[in-house]
Amino acid sequence: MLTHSLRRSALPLILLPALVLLAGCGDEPAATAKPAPFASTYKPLPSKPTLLRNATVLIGNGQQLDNASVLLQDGKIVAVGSDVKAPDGADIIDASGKWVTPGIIDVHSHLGVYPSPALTASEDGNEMVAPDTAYAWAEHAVWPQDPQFPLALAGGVTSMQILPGSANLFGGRSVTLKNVPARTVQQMKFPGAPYGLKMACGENPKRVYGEKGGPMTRMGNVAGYRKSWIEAAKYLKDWKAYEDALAAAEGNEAAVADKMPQRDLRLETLAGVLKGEILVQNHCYRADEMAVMIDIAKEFGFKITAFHHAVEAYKVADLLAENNICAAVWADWWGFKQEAYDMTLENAAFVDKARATVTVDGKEQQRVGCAIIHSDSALGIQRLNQEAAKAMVAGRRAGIDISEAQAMRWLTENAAKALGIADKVGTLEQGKMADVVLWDRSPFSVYAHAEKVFIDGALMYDRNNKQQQAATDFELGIVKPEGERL
Amino acid sequence: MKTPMTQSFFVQSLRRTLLATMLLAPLAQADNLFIQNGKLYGSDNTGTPISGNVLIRGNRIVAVGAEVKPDADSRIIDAKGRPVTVGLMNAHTGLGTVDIDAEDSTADTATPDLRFGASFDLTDVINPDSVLIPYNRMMGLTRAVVTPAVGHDVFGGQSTLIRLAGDDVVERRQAAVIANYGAHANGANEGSRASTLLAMRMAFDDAKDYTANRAAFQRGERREYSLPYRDLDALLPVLDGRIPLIVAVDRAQDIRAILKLGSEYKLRLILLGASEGHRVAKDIAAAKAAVILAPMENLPDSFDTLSASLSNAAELNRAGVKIAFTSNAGDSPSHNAHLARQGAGNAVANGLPADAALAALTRNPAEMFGISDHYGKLAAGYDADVVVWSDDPLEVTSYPDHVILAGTEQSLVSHQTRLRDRYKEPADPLRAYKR
Repeated sequence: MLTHSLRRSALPLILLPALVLLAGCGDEPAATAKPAPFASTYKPLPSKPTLLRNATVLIGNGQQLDNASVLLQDGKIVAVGSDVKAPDGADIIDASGKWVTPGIIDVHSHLGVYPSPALTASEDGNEMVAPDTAYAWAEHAVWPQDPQFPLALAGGVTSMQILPGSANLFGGRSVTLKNVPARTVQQMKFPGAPYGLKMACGENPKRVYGEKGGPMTRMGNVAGYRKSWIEAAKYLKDWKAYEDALAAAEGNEAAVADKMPQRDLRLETLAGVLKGEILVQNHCYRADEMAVMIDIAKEFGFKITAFHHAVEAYKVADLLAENNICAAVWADWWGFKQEAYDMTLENAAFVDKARATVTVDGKEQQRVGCAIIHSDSALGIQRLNQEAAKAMVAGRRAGIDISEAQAMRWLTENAAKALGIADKVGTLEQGKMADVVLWDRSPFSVYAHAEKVFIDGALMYDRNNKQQQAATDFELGIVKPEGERL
Repeated sequence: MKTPMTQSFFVQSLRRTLLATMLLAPLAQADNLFIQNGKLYGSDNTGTPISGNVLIRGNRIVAVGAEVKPDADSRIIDAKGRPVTVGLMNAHTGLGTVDIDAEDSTADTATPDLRFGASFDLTDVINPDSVLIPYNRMMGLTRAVVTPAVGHDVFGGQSTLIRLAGDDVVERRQAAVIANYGAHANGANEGSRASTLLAMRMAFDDAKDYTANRAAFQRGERREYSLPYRDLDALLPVLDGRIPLIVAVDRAQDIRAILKLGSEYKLRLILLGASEGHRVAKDIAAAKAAVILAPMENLPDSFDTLSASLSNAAELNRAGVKIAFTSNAGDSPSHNAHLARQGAGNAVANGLPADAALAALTRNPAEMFGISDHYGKLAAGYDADVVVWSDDPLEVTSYPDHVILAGTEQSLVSHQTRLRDRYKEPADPLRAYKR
């Protein structure tokens, strides 16, 4: 929604109808288009109409309703409010004293590509062979049997973006998944979610390639980004020329076959960004580097959707708001490398309160900061609620009035916005996918547990019912033949 | 008969005592404090908080209770009914030995030098000016065990116990020796963990032989040992039970093997990590081994931790095992050592009684590392290390409002809060001139 329109407005290079070969992620490919490769085959599990009532409800958009009900039916949020009736045959759950929130969305995860156990054989998260591996797709490495997925589900996580690692200037394509047990990655793919392009600033590319032909400096990093974007712009132009020729030949492919450019998987991904179909997810810690990346985006006419690991986002919170870029941050990680040194606990709060006025097409627009708490960790993803709680309280102690309802946006609505799926999930609004968590108390407590987790209205996890807790193939008979790992 | 090693140990402990006595004078500058109207935790062993006051003179708590009155010159801190605890302790950190993990020039946590294993000692390099110390202190941590990361050898070196304040942060050196066992231990990673076990046995056998035949060894009339004599020296206090051996170990079978080794050599064992400890909790309790664990670690992240579970702390405690907490059982966590508190809260959420969780952050590590006569309780005669919390000390939404260390109220300012204050108004171009 918001994300889509802003993305287009920031993209002067979007001139073309979607090219068949480049359309990897459109919601509804044209009837004549070939189906996208590796298309989602996700199907919601069977569900019953379910009414959660008498709960404290955090909508996910900054609003809180007390003593309210949420009705899930046919996989959708049907009604939210104080006067909601259950249809016949519905499961009615008394949620007195409990809290209901949208499913948590982690915008930065490596589950499946860095699975547990962490074996050499299954380290598939970082294609560290060249500074630009935009041709690599994270989904081709996701192991759906990773036991980290159900652990994240128990923490209320219903969707996540799986990113390729951060060694490269261009790491490759991310994929957004629904957190459901599956045999194939296609069965987990969030239907209609756009791809992301993972880019990385700073120390990692320097460290990995410094003695392998470069880049070995931040100068080299930036030269590397620009070189690839120049190639991508030419690639896009070549394809446009071909499309024009094809149109002139009235669709006679044979007549223009000699004009058809060679497909290049790396440049397809970059061109997808230039066309606004693939979102840039940029690992970038330092404030000054974020500013440089914003300038690169302007130079080549694309948009950065989110900076990840943005430890210094608070230093440029106004610049991020002005450019409508989300900052995905940790509550308190720091010091593991130099670019993570200037941590402050108020990072998310400062990003959240940032405001900027911009002029778009002659009209003034107010833009607000977009803060997200992300994990980048198979442990952290299990308790993003606690991480948001720490960041919220730090903000309050710095004098910023942040409600629980507002802090929940950092895990839901803002995260959905950064993944381009805010029209489908992230808030408990009528018509959205019924990805919902029932917490046994305020999710901002260390003692809170996700009691029930629904995805598309189907009960995926019940803390009080072992039969409703998925075990992966890996976990069957792993310690005791008849027993369970947990 | 006193060996040179035990002499030096004795002399050191004597010197420590003298130092502690001499330190009383300068520390007398500390305020005389009176904390009134607190919800006092850890004043006894019942776990139930009492409403009352804490009278602090110099660096000691002198009285605790509802009837306790301030002195005429006491500075009064009104706790307003908020929780008051002992300052917290993380039993496994690298505090003061690293600034930035990825920058070797700032990290002193381990040695690749084959000449030093068990004898490797970080005490004199622990930097009291490290920016990590004020940050962790303002988050309620007042004590920590600093343990080297295990480098090349089975043994990584010696632990040091520190207080998070002052120029002399060292409270106790040679507080333990650390060893690694399991998939990632030296010897096991490209071979078999059986060789690690053999290396440990060889080391202890050699240390015994060395201590019985030191003079002959010095004359060159004894066989070659598997370790340099300094490392054998460092193992002697472990062998005679004066200090514990910390063994990083996770798999249930590996824990059994270490317990057996400990019983054979009569070691005081502390298991570090012990992800599968809950499966052998009774054996650990029977062996009187203690455990330092990171309660949030529940991933089957290796074939040593397939049974890792959030209920580990609760189940070990239920079996009667003494537990203490760290924020990460991997290589010596430092930057967020205070997060041992969040771990404790999670342990409670998964079945550990709250008083046991608080004990695991205070009294238990004090007992494990031999300072429980003066730290770990909110009681008369104990060190005045006290934190007044905004709310439940195990909650992630609670913060320290007052941190008192050795009777002195500590500043709640750090590099992180300075950055916060500088960037409160992000558009201010003059911020760089504001100090």
